[in-house]
Amino acid sequence: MRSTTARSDSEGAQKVLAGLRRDIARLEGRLAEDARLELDPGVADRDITDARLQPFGVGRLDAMLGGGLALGDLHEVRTAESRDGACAAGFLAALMARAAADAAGDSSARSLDDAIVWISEADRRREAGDLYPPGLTALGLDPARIIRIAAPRAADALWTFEAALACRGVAFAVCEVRRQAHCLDLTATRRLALRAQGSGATGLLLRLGRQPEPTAAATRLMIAPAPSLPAVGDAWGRPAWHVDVEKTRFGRAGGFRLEWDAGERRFAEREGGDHERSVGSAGGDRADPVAVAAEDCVRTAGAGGQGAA
Amino acid sequence: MKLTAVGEAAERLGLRPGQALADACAAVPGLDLHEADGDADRAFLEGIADWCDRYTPLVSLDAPDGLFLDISGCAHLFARRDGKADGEARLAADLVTRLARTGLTARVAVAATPGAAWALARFGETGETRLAAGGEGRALAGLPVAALRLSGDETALLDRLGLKRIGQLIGQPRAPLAARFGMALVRRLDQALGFEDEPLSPRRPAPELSAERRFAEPVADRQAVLAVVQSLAEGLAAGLERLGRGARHLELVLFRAGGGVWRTAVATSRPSRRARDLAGLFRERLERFGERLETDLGFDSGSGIDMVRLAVLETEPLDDTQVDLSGRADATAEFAQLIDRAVARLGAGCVTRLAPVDSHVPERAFALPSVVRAGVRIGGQTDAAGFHRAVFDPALPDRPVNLFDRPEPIEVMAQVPEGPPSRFRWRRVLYDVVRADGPERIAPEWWLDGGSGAHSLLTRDYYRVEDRQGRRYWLYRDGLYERESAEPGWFLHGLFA
Repeated sequence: MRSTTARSDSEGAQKVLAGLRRDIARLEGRLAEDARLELDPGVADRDITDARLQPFGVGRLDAMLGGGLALGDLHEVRTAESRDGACAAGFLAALMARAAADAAGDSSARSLDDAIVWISEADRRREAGDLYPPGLTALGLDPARIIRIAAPRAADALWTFEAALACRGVAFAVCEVRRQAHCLDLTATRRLALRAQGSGATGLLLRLGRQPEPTAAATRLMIAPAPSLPAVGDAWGRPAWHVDVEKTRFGRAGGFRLEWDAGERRFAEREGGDHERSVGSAGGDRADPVAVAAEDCVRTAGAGGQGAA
Repeated sequence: MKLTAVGEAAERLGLRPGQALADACAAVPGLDLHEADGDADRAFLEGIADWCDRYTPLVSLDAPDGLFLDISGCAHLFARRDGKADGEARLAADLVTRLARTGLTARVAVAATPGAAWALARFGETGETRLAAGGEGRALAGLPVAALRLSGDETALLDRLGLKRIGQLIGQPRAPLAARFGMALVRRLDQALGFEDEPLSPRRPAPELSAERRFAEPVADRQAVLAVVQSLAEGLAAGLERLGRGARHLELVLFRAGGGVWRTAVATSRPSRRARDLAGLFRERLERFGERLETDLGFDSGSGIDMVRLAVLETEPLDDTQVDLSGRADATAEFAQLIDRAVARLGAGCVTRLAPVDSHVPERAFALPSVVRAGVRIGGQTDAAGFHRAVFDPALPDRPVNLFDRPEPIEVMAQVPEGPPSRFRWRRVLYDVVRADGPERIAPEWWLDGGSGAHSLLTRDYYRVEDRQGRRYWLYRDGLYERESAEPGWFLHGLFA
């Protein structure tokens, strides 16, 4: 959709502006309203060509993330309610299973052999239970790769998380916290991000029942349960989630409904199953309007860019 | 009832252990009496034994009121540099002085055999006694036969026959002595005189390597302790290097100036002799105790610790260099170090692997083996510890990603007797069931339970249900309708993604 007649000086200025906006958004850990403007895709693409990416295999979502989730960086996943811990844990397990499936075909990748360090705070385990290996297997993730760390306090969880992110033998480190962890501010998360970038380990910070807060995470996704779509009759459907991209390096946002095929270890975007959502609680409903609004915003911005050209 | 022990004041009044309580009360009205507590006495003795570790790692208990310290090879550490006072005397004097500071009166004897030391400490002259090897016969001759650690019956028998002094036994022909009084007497005599070796059984195994530092003034600062640990670790690392071994299990012992010791151990998942790493493990370990450490060690009250010992309890061979051009070994080493630090800080129970177990009872279908003992390996293929790569199998029943340790009771609002609930209340919130799947009937492993009561012995019918928002729950009805239970309870066991 890019116009080829764009003036070079204006393009340069735009690039600078976009870069600054991105920096501000990253430093503040939030998505400024004006930063939601669609950035020049060319700028974004050049930025990430050398980064290792873990695509979801869902075109629209991967495009929004600039090709996938950047490996060797910190990403944040949050849920609006703390009782959705298992739902989000399942999403992360699926994501890591996907990474393992991709790595199986690529001998240079590290994710297959390296360990997964899964840290959870005591409060979170009380709230939604502890990791259950047969359940991980059922999602397609090999539990033998996981080192489970049951941290008594949030501070211990974060200490372990930082140590794990600094370790080169770790493919993914997951840290689940529930309580309002004051030790998890912008400075602390920036340290985590730096550790991850230094070692190449990928950090997945799972914050349960939290409002968005400024963090140095490259990406923030909000996960909510999505009603399953039964294949035949009333049978048990595949795991499904509402995934809201709330923050990316590229300032885009949007919402998706993803399904997980554990046999193929593949995500798929599939609409529907939402006919009953209006009956649900306020927390469950939150996802949709935001998703729609974000998509609208993207569309408008795209149109605007064309007009300017 | 008898007196088992008397204090100094009571002794001056003429009371003796073994005296009948009634006699004692008649002789001295208003006695301050306490019931004897053997366990507490023993625990107290153990405490002193721990504290005596400052002199030698080989301390053995001689209940109810004695300790043996094997100071072979340790005593010279206490010798004055100018050589004017020998180590044994200074060690004994130090022991008595320090114990006196904590309110304990000790009698110490240094001898070449445990038997002679025992006899001299209890029956010899007061004050510290030292006996050179070979002098046992002369030194013990004047002591009563009870000094041979004999039973009351044996002593009484000897006494009746007029054999009151050890000297009277030493010259006797051995065969008749053994025939008349049993081998035990002869053996005790031989042990005391050094004709028969008597091994002591130390309370703790002797460390393979150990390094220690004493302070002239007590230290009451965590950072200072850690600095000492670091420097001791460097010494041990050099020792390990010479042996071509690495440490697997280390212990840090802090000796409180006011008496008592504080010890903590860390294990490594693979042999290591990098001083920085080993010291780092103790840094994490001390961190785990938080501010409690300062209180435990008496830092707040200003007493502090006056000696630090770092000991290697277990080693394994470790090659001089581990070179791997791919850097893979580095990553593995880093990972092992990560695990060790986490274990040091959080405890071994908090850092585990996830191992499937062949059981169809959900809560038994996995184990959490400790990482340290199971060994660290990066990667998921079957390894030495027997972990199998688990693969997705559509034939297996779906299982939740999170499981509760204890299934949580739920209130089922509407149900058909043999079907899933259509509505339930969990943690005060009401959920409408939109979709349900099941039942999956899971019978108890009654042959394992043995009616222990830890798990219910009822058949469970599991249902997977989904609420309106798409949250998915693993519920079960505990017991079969009317056959096992009139009003079966419902539980929430896990949560699906």
